[in-house]
Amino acid sequence: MNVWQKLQYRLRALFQKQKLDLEMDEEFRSHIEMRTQQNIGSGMSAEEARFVALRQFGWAESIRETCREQRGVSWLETLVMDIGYGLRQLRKNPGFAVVALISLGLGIGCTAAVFTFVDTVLLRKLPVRSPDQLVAIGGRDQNFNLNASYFSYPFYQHVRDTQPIFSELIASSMAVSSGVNLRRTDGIDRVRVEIVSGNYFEVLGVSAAVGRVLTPKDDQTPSAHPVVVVSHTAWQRRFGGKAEVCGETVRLNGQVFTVIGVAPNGFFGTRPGLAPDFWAPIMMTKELTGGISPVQRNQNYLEFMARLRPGVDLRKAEAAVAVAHQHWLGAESGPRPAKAPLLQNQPLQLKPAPRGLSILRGHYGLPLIILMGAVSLLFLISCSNVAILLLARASARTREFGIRLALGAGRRRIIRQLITENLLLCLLGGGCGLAISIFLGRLLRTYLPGTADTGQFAPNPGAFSFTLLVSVLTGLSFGLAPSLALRRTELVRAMKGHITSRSGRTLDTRNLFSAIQVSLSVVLMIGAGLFLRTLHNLKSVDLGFHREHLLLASLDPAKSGYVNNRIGIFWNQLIERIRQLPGVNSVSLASHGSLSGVLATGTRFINTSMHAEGIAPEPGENTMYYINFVAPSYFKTLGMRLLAGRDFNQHDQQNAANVALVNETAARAFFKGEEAIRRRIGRGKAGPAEIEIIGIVNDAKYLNVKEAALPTVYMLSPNGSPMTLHVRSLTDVRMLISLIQREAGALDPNVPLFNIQTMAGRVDESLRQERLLFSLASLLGVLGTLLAAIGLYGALSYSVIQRTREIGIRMALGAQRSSMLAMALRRGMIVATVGICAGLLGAAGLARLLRVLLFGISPIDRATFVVVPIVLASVALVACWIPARRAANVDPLVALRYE
Amino acid sequence: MEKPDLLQGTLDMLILKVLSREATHGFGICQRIQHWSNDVLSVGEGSLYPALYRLQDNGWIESEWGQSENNRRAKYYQLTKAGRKQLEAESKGWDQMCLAIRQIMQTA
Repeated sequence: MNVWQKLQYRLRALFQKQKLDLEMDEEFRSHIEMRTQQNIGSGMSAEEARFVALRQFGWAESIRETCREQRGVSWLETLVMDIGYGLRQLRKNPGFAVVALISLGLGIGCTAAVFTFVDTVLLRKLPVRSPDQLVAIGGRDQNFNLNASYFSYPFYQHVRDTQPIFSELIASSMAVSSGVNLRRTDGIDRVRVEIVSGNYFEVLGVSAAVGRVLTPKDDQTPSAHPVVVVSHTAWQRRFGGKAEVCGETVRLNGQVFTVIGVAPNGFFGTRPGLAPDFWAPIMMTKELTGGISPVQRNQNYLEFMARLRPGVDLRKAEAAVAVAHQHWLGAESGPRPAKAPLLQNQPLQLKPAPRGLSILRGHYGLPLIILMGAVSLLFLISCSNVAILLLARASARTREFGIRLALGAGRRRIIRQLITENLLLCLLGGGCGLAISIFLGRLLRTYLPGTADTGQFAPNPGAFSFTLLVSVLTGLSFGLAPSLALRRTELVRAMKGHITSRSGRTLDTRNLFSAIQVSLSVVLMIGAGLFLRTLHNLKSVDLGFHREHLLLASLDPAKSGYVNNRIGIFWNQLIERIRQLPGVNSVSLASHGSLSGVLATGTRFINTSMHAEGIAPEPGENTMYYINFVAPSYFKTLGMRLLAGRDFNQHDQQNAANVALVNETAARAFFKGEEAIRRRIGRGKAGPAEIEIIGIVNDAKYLNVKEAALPTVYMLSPNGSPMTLHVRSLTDVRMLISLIQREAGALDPNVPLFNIQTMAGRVDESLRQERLLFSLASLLGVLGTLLAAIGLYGALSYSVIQRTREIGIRMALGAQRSSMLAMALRRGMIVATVGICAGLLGAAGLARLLRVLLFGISPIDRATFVVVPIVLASVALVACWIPARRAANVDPLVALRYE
Repeated sequence: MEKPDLLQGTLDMLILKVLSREATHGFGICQRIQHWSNDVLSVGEGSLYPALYRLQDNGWIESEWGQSENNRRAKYYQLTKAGRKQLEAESKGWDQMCLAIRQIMQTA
């Protein structure tokens, strides 16, 4: 019989079981009939003949069973039977089933979701050719993940052309093209464009999915190559994924670009979490940034990455770039634009960058690691829960196993059934876990800053499989352990329902697991408590200005073609229009909207060195000041206090006077306690100082809520662009949004408003990381506590059932119900107390790791360390109450009759 | 007379041999084995039927329902081509083994 015939035979055996069985019966019957006839023929009576024939045939059932086995599908039949049995068991014990599935689902789901998140932001390598060969170039001692290092295009060319080690050097920028206008037929969208060198795709080893990618030929002459490569996601979204996309045009910042190709699916550039919609050549920088010219030496806006050939020594490469840098600096002259952090006199450093450049990593790195730790604790708790449940249940079934063994079942058969049941449970739990991980993954994505491309965070199959595997192993080991220990000599006791357990011991395996669970959830809860207090502290910090009823919106007329004085006229007209709106208290502009963080578009983060006239800075003293270009009535709009001197007035604005206000910290830094008003300051570390200080204001937060006071200088810039509009209203400011948009649109529809936000909203958003941490930590804490409570309940519950006889005897001998209650409670609370103490010790040790993330409290915060144990003790009490009551309500008659 | 036990392998061979002469049902095979060995060997139903199913699974015999002598339905078995080959092979093997055993037993 060949394979095909055998398969047919097997399938028949599987699906036509009854028919085959009937046939077999009939065959046996006819056999017996014939034998009977033969016996009658040799002289027996009919009855005797049949009797002899039957006896001769033998034990029919056993023969039938052997024949059935020959069909070759009996293993499949038993499997189906076992699965059915397992499902029925789960249905009959819904409490056990629900708790086990929830525990498994939560453990697997949360762990998989968090790990996927961490993997994408921290761990995954770039989807390019040989990512391990990539390095990033930046200033020494700079944390690449927090402060990128920027260079100019001519420097790029210099390094690439004079140092053969860097023949594969790429330059890219997303910082400068802070959002680009894409004109659609019905409005304007803001899109992200990454400006890249011609060899970008070639060096990364990325080829086009449709059409072609950029080549060095597309990067020769300034403004002469209006071409773009579109990202896969943008291609799907904007062009419907159509194949004839090459040749389509898009209007970016007023300039027409032609699409020449589509990047492959999954390629997102070199910055995880910040996927651009388009890639354009550096030669088109002017068009895309509204002014920055690619050929100027002092325009530093590019980030460098290079591919080093295998075998190239990192030191040699560093030396090479240092040589090029020194050479370059020797020839450099001219003022630097305010945007670029200083690289002068700083040797350059190479850093391996197989995972790309990521600001997200810097912001989220530590919290994510801590999150991974926390979720692992939750996973341990959930596995312990499953272990406890399985141990309890298996012990309860020893009677069943005893009977089955006595009836002739092989131990292997029972073990096979147990394996099937446990696998079933774990797979069902895994299904729940998958659903939970997808849901949680989506939730996590919403916490990322708006610039992150959410498409990159799909659930990771590796993470999921791993957690599932661990759960399966846990389930199998604890589900099987008791049965493997069952020996035939203990059959009788097993059948009677006695278990050879050490029921007298308070700290047996189950209780040990329970205590571990409690301690782990204490750790989680303390973490949550610490983050809660941090968040509360951050929310109530004094910002230096009034955050209520303040609306911010950014505009960038320069990108839509305005130049010089026309920009100033635009701003004046806009401010006038808005001031007329009902409910508006005051309006102003600023180049930097406070608390916008590092990623926001439309905001200019300016940090440069300044000096005071006549005062030489001491060596090692910080000479960096933060600058904010504002319009008159800025301080009034923000609600800041004028501490001395006067505010800007229209006269200053119209005559472009060289005046400035400084905050307290800046005044102290410049003049060290001396009078600051009417003194002069200037840019740079030395040199002319023509800026006169006319007033001092209070310190206000600049970048984020946690910072120490930064020395800030406020100056006028009538023709600055982009600027952020600040509008303070008397009532709820959100109602003004549409009115303001209408006014701006009426003034010029080509200059859109973007990043429209209330200040209160922005403060909340800047606390995003803390909010994320707190929410997740508290979620994990609550889940962990819930699971630990269930574990405690289960362990104690089972122990009470086990000791029912003993309790019955005691009560029969005269013990009071209340003392039985107390006995059970005491047992449970001992376990809980041990767990809580262990947890407190562990938390005290681990809390130190969190120090960096906390604000305003010490890691061993007294309030948290007192409240959490109390909460957990109460939860434990509730969890122990029900089984304890059951112990108290044991009826001695029933208990003693149980035997 | 003691009835020697039949090994599984030899039972298969005997069944194939019986069926090589003519197709018959299970009871018939029992009869013939007993008859042809002059009552020395008898097959228990407990061994016969599992063997028949096994042989069928291996593709050496095939079955078909038909009418028996006393007008009842009975399952008739017959040898397949592969079965015939198998019979030859086993027969040869058996001969060799018998020869070997006899040689050992005859050395003084």
